[in-house]
Amino acid sequence: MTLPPFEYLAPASVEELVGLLARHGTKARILAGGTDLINLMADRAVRPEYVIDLNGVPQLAGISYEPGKGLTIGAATKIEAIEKSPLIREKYFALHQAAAQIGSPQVRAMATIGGNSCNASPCADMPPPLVTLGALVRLVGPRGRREMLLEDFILGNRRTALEADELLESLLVPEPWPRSACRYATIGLREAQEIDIASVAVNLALKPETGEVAAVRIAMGAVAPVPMRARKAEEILLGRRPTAEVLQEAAASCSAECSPIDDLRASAAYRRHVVRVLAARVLRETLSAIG
Amino acid sequence: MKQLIELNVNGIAYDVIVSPEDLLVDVLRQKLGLTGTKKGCGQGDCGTCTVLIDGRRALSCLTLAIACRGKTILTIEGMEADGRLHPIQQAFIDKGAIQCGFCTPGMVMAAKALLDENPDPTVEQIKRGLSGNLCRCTGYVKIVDAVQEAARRMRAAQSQEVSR
Amino acid sequence: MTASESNTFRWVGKSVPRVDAADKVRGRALYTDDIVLPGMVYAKIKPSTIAHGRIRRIDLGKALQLPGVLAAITGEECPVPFSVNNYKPTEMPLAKDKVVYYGEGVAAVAAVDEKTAARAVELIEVEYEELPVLLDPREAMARDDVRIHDWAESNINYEGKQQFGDPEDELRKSHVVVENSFFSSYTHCGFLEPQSTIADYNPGTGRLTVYTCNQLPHYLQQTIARTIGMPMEKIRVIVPTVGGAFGGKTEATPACMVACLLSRKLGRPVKITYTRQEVFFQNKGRHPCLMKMKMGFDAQGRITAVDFDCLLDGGAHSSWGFVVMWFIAALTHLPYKIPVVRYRGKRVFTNKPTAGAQRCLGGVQVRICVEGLLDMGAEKLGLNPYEIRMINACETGYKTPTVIEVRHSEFKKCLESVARRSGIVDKYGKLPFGRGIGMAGGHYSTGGAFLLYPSYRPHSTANIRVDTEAGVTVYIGATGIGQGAHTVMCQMAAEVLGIDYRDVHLVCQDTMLAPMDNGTFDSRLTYGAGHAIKRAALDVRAKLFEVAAAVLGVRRDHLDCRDGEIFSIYEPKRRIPFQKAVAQYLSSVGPLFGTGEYTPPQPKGDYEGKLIGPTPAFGFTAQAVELEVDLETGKIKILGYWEAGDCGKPINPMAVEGQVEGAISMGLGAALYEEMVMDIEGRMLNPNFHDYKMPTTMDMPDLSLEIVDSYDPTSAFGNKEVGEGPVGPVIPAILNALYDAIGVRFTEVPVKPEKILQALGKIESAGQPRLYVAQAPSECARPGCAPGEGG
Repeated sequence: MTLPPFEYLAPASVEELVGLLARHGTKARILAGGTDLINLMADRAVRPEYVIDLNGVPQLAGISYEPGKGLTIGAATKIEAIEKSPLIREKYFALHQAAAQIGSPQVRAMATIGGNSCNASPCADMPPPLVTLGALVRLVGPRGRREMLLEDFILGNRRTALEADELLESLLVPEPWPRSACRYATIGLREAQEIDIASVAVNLALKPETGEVAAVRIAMGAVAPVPMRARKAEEILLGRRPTAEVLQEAAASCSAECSPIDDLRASAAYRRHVVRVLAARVLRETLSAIG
Repeated sequence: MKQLIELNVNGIAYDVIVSPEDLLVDVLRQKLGLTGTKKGCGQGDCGTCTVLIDGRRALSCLTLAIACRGKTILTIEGMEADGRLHPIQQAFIDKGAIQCGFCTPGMVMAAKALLDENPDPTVEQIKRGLSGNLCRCTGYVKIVDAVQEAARRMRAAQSQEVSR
Repeated sequence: MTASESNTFRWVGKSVPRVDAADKVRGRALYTDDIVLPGMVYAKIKPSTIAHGRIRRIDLGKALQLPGVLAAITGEECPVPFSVNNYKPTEMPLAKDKVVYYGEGVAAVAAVDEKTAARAVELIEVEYEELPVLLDPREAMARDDVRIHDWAESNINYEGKQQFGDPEDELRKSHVVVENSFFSSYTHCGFLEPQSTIADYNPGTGRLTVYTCNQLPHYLQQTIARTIGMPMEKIRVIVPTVGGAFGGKTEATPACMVACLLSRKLGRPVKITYTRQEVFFQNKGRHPCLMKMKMGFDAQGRITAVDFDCLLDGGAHSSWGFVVMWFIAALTHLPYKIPVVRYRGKRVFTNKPTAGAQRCLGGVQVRICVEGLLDMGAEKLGLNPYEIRMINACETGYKTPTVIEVRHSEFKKCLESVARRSGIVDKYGKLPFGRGIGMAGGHYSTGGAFLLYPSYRPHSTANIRVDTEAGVTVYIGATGIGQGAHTVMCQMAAEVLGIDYRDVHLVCQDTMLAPMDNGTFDSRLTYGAGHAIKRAALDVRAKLFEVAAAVLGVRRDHLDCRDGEIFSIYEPKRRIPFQKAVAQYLSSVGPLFGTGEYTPPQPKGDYEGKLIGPTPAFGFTAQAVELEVDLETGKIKILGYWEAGDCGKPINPMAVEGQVEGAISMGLGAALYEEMVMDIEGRMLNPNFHDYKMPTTMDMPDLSLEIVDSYDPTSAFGNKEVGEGPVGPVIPAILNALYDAIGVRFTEVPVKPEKILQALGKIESAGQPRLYVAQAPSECARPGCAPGEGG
């Protein structure tokens, strides 16, 4: 397996990186962990003339939290760091679950949250829980910085709103809702190194006095071109006490709303069925976690 | 555009000429003659190319050599010291964890990374730590036993050191 | 040597560390791709982009102009087809005139480095005239208008029938008759080391040295000689350390032939190493089989007859097809007593990567049928799975209708052991819905009884040389592939000579230095090499004892040897170090050599295919599995797994365990998720390890193994096979357990979660159970959607 030839650039700062993107734009690709890009290049699916390595820019990695504001995760933060972060485990457990699910220990040590988000594979693990947490992406380019919801950033199968001269700099995850929990579950054929057949992320908050659902977001992975919000399921839950029947209703709606395909990993029928099962389980797990 | 870079592998600084598209696994194997690191799939799925870069796990088949300037690389050849096998290596031999041996270097490197982080792992943690390394010969049973044994021996050696 | 005498073995029966372990764990063991020769260049092969078509045009022009490219060839320069047994060979080093599977090599380039060769391959232009693609063997059989191989009369590669007695009559008279249709899947050997070859043609001497990971160096030597047109004695095959094989490296790869041709053309060493995709395209994994089997029972539960039809999907080339077809026939006759058997087999060409010989070849397919029907019969007879098997299990001395004698068997011990340890008799039919327990038996041949060409020459020869310069060196052609062959050979030689096993040097898997060996397949190595080594060592020992006796002043037949010393059994004070006896021999007599050989008994009987299947001994195994089905997701969780094996006396118990553990993991993968998937145009959709799913550490259940007490008196040290048999029962044990769990009898694998949900009526069935996926690839299956979805 050999790669097509390219020029390698290793900027030392965000400004330098942005400058390179401005110059080379569509002819360049960002190298973060390499677990996606190297494979794409080996298959000749992409043939960039320039590969810009962002690993020499320390500002792009790191996890910080500010009460009230929320979590800031540098795009180049390794999946392994997200998996192991005690802060994320405590406050954004679904992100811990998603990170723990990705690939293998080696892949988690190399891959980054930014890469996982920008690659935007429909099966990617980080986007669904990030979407339920209302995560924002901060993009930086020659025209300055801009922010948008991750949910709006991912446009389709391996398509994002990132311009050719822009960099995903960081993700911002808002302060969790009070009295809330977030959970994520996936299903595949093996217990490791799996590409999900389906996944469901839930972020749910309860009203303290009534126990009704105060807020909820559900996102499904691998059953649509993008991490898909199950909006009708959310409406079913909103304002109601989450009884077993209500959860079943919501789970069934998830199943009806998604648009899975037949592929070599699973049939659409199986995916549709198992999304309902996963949704019910994740909803129950989330409610238990709220306590 | 070819460049002369310095790669630090197993404590030795090598001067190597690489093209940007050269993968670390190929540079190690073909330019440095360190053929212990294997290339089972070239896609990051099998783990036979596992090395440690700055102490962290890496799939050398998905790593550009040119991106490794200034980093410390540890390969299977660097696990032994002064002709003495590392306890992980010795445990693999003692527990019958080696059959065809092709997965072995990657397994040993993955085990080292695991035990460096967690010197007293449970069986589940060992399995998880090695879940990125495929083996078609052993069914993993004796590999997990070997890592457990290595951990035990390393902890025992450590406490002997401490008590000295 | 008796069983009781064997308990005093010094090395045999001991779990000693492997002799090659240190090199492997240090990263010092040299696999073929690790080797570099001076002046070596690299070659790459251009794969076809269609599954069936005529080659209209190949333009090498641009490739040849790339700086650093030294030569390029097409199939025109290598017109001789090959196969491992030279029986109806079809495979070409490079496709000539037409391609018959996706990924078949059509041209090759040699260049100064790998990168240049890869770039040059991209510049080769090929034009095809597409032909209809035949993927289903039933369709391929029926189509007269589309011939996959122009020279063949039809797409039926081989056909065979064996009949012993009148099954229709017997079944009519039987108390109970059960029947079913089964499908075994399209799996891949999955060795981690991609095939690699270095061909080194020396134009000065006219000699060709080939380094390659191949299980049968002798046959490879012959095949190269025939295919490229060179005398055999000018060719030397050296097999370096092999990174797994499992039967998939028994044949020459087309790349090996290409490397030889390019090396001869250039007069310098040429290396070709397959990418993982090429390994899949080249395949040589298990034959998918469509099978129908009928089994009858009398009122006591004894099998009366079996009628078995098997359609083998051979893929594009001949490969081992002939052997597999007859092996399936042979393996039907054991490990249960079946007095009347009819077998009708057909192997058919299809436009898919070729099926060959995968670990437990033929056994996996047969076990799915036999073990499933045994349970079906047991149910009708009111017996449990253990009872039906004990009633029918073979014993020592049993003779099959194919005139094969089971000269030794502890199969019943195996069945009894797993039944007891798993508790199946108490649990079967009584666990809550969704939980089930099942069992299956199995066996496999040991010692291999056929050469792949007509000859009476010995199957294994060992020459031992002893001197003070090199110690004890055993020259034997036997090939290690990771199963531990080298270690057990050292243990066996050391046992007879009374020295440390680590002091035995081996020269093996080299056709020039080591005498011919039939190779590592059919689980013959330890048995066959064992006999040869024992005889050679006894030869050396007799010569040495004669001199030692004179030195010690005792009778020759009073002597024994152990721990590096030769001594009198009756007067232990009279002893001499082994090395001293050797030195004395060298000066008193001369060079010290011993030689030994082994040929298995000629198969008896007179029927079609009789040469394939009969072996001098058989290993046996029984397995049980308890599992739980997640009724909502269809996923299976294995709660317990028990195995008991009869491998005779294990030479190295730790190695035996390792073999069983690995065999079970291969069976598990095949049962639950392994399958190669094609689209409707015959393109393989998952030629990689993220979508061809083999078990990871986290997928393996805990295994409980037992080596039953056994000793086969026909073998050199009581030993029998263990490398292949244990793969066989895994699938049927799981299928039988699933029936117990949810009342559905699955007859095809892999049993993926959605099949379970379909069977439970929870999702719509896809219609006819499919042989393989023939669908358009999804976007998610495109390259890049690998487990590392980070960037």
